[in-house]
Amino acid sequence: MKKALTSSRGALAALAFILAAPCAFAQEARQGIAQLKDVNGNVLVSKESGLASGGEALRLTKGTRVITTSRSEVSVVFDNGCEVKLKENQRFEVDDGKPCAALIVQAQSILAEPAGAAAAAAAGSLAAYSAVLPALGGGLVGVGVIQSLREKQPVSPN
Amino acid sequence: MPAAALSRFGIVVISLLLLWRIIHVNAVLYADTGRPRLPGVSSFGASERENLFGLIRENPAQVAALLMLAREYERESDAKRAAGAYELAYQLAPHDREVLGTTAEFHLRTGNVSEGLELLGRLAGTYPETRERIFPILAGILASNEHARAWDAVVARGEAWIGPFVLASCNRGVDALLLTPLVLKRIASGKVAAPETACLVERLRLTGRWEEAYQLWLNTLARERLADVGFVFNGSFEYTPSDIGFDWRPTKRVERDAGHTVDLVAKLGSVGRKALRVSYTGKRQAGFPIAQFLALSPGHYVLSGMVRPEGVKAGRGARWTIRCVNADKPGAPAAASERFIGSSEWRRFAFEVTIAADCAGQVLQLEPVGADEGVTYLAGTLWFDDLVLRRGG
Repeated sequence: MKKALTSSRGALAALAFILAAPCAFAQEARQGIAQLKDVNGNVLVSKESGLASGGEALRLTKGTRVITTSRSEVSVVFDNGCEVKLKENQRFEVDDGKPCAALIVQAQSILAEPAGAAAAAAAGSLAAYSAVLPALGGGLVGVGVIQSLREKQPVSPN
Repeated sequence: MPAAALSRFGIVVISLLLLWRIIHVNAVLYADTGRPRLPGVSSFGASERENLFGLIRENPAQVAALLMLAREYERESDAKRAAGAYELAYQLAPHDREVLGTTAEFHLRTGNVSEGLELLGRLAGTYPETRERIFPILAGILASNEHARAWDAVVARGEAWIGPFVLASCNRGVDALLLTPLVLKRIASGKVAAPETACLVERLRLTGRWEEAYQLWLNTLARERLADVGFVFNGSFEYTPSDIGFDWRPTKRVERDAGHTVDLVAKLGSVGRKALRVSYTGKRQAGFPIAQFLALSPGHYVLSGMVRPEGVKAGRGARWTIRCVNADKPGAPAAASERFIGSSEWRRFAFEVTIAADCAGQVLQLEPVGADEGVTYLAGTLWFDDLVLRRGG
């Protein structure tokens, strides 16, 4: 009788393990707080040993960096429904405990031009157009020179 | 007989060309009604201008006179007539250096930057000797950030001067971030040359923009290489180093100057197909055999790898170090491996790495122990494979 009870307890434990196992695997698969969606082009994700390609539906844990390259885009969809869209050459660090609006503005362009520097450089260079360009054509030196050249050389239609 | 026929044919061709030129010049300079497109001489009083008109009447294709006339109109703030004269000159001689230069100048002076940009580009493409003067102006237009569409058109046409422009501007010290969008478009169209990206990545790195440098370098990698970039790129040494950006940089010195050689060769017992082999000749060591710039964020890491020393002697051995780099100068080692000396079979090694908050960029390099202290000598061979840097530790 005791033996029968022991064996039925063992069977129950085994059954419980079998039933619980898929849940544990599912939980493991669902680790993280967000996932990649609409992966287009080269999307990189930070992993334990550095950056690697990220595929569709890849789960993302807090602190994971998502980076896009040229002609690439991706959405990071949080489990709470918040969706952050990344355009080309942007980076985003997966974070929690922040409102969706704050997460959306967290996506940053990495290769953005420095507006201040560009404007400063432009001011100097545009002012220099007139000073530099007259030399480009080789210099127009006056009617007298053309006339004297024409007297010495046969006329040619260019 | 064939020679005579050939010469006749040549005469006919030349005659047709001359005829076409005459018709073209007349079509440009005269309206259908026969009225000259230039204003009549009577409207001007200056003798110099009369001389100009005289020259144009004698030889209607005299573009130099047309250009001077255009400048005269400009001086009198008669932009409409000036534009007309420049246009005529351009139609008569669209490949003439003076015409291209002065007409571009006119367009830029009058704010028509798109036209000016196109003509300057044509000038740079047709007359490479003008690039030294033109490229700074083109860089100025690029920096103005107001003519993106005109630049897009230029880049879309894939003109041959763009690559030299990027390289020359980069070498001249133009802000690399201004040139980066051009290079990104050229990468996308497959027209970029390695020196362009190498220069820009280097310039960004040297100016402390490590993240931007890394991002631009990522953009240059083929899709298959992006699958596993890692903190250490190509740590398995399966690919030939490109010597660009954040890839491995083997020494460029010749063996007799460096005291070592570097190559990637197949080796039994290594991971994958190839391994790194550094052969020390026993002579004085100059420089480091191989290095790679890293862009690690602050934190703790562990660098591990496989090593096989073969008869390493005549010194204190070699080691991997990671040093912070500021203004292209490596600082004191942030981390260092054990010393590799003597001989052994393939074995694993590892060391901890801590990157401080003020260390934006680093260099991983194989260096002789004691290189900081003075002259070093080293003999033997070191094999390395499967270098991996992981967070943690």
